[in-house]
Amino acid sequence: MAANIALTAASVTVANATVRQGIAGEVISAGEFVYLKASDGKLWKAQADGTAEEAVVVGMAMNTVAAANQQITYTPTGTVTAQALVFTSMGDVLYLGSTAGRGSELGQEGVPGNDARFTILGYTTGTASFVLNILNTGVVMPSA
Amino acid sequence: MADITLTAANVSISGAQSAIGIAGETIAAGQPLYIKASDGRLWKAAATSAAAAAVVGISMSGGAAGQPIPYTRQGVVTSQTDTYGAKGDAILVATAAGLLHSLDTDGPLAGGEFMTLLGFTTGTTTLLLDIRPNIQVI
Repeated sequence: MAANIALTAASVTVANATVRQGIAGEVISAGEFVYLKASDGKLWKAQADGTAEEAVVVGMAMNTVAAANQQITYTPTGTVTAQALVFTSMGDVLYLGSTAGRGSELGQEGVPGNDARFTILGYTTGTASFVLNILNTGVVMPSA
Repeated sequence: MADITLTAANVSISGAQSAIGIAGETIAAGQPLYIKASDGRLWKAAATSAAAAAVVGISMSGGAAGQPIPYTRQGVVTSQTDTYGAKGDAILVATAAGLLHSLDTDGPLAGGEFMTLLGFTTGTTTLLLDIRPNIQVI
């Protein structure tokens, strides 16, 4: 299974963002990818190997909430800068990982695991930056 | 009694109407904020100067410098158990940045400091925001 990338919350900044607000359903850190849960209308950490709903990414958290029910900002677009050397190369596709809230590099780590849902998050523009350009494909990777 | 720190993980705010600003420093939920004129960003408020005591609201969640922070100047802030000594206390911005000061429990601020009313306690864990312009203590 491909490793997932943890963006260091304190290092995350976003240029050209479309800032949106929501209510967190759980503790969420800046740099984590989120989905909107229909049953409560709150933002939760997205992941590729859960339900179809959990793989529909609406954006990336731009700040950190210490508890559920706090107001959080997120963006579906923008140029994200994170900690140094978090990515291995530029031009790599980022997709939603199997660890809640995290992404993976396609070129580095290969395709998503069996039965995971393929959600594209964007592409790297350097070893510390990427363009957030979400595409919820709905594609489920075939079983082995 | 020492200045009051709201535990970020216990902070929830009802009846809020939020705004968003960019953090100039690391900010946690439940801290009073002001906008620094030189950079237009949100910083933790303090009673040490008129500018730093000009509170625009309370942070609704946290983040690092450069990140967007939701904040509000109205609503009821609920925090950890026994945050306040009693209901009906007037709560001010403290001398220490980002902290709160109970007028009834801790007494008045020192001469020369700037008194900004944040609101009134409605219980030992709840604060009704009612932010007012600051005045200097003589």
